[in-house]
Amino acid sequence: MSLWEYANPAKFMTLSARILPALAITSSCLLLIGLLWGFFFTPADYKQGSTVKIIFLHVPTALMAINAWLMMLVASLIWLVRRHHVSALAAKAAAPIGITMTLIAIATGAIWGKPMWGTYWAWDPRLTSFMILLVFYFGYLALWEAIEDKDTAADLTSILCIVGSVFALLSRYAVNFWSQGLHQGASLSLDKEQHVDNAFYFPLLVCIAGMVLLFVTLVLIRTRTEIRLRRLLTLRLRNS
Amino acid sequence: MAYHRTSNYNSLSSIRLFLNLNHNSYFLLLTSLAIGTPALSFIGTFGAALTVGVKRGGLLLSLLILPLYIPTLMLGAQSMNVGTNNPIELLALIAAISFMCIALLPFACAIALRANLK
Repeated sequence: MSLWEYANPAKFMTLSARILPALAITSSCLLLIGLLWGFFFTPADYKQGSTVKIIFLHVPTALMAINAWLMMLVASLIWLVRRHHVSALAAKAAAPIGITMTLIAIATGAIWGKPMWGTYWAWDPRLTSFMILLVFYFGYLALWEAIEDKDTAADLTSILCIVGSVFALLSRYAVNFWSQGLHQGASLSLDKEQHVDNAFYFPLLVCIAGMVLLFVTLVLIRTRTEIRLRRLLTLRLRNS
Repeated sequence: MAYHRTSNYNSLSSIRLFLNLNHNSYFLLLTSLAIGTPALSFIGTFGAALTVGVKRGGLLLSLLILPLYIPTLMLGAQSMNVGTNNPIELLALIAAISFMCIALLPFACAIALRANLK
């Protein structure tokens, strides 16, 4: 009994069908609790007023925008090394979710930025990194769609994902040379003592947990769709 | 004599004239271009290897390599900004990216081409 058993599409389908309802319910409950708690039961910030509450959407989505790419990188590596089709399809399934998360993060940031910074958009290192991330996602998806043969497409997008990760990391540090930027530091991190105030910290943690589970749920649903699409394609080829 | 030489130099280098660069920044511009160009062309090679099987790959190619260009371009543009940065540091970083591209991207190209040929 190893983890690789679930690389078998049939096994993956039965397992994911079994855990999906639980995942969906847990993630929606966590998001509901976290967002309600965050929006209605936290105090306004002394400086930012009630606009601070956008943190409960902005931080989790921004986190998942980056982690979606990380998940695609791992899935691409698994595809290149072990040639499991489910892995390649999971990477493909995660890309549109990553795009959505990136767009939500940019949009909520813009809405917050107008009253706080006086501008929707600034050429700030973090903001620019996110725009580059968005272009990466679009290029990745465009390459998937452009190539007829599915296995070749999986190969090429995996290579693009790996090379792109290296350059994304490079850009993340290259933009630091440019200016300190407007964006404030991290709201929370694993290696620092100082976080945002506890009044915001705990609902934020609930929101992040909910967003992670939501991402897993959506990836599983989309991977199942991709597997079914692939099966339909094979059936149609066999019948014609 | 000295005046003569500089004026000659000016008329030869139209970029320098149009951008009104002084001698130091002109030298920096040329150096950063020379150091950064290998990185850009190797990234372009990688993009071409990815899209070699696509019928109209031109637009796709530009979408794919645009984000890959960002670090090189960003550091290159910053190396001209002498007031806030140490240009040698940035030129060294551009050279590092160039060397990395020259060393590693041919392998990525080879994998992409092999996948395309299958």
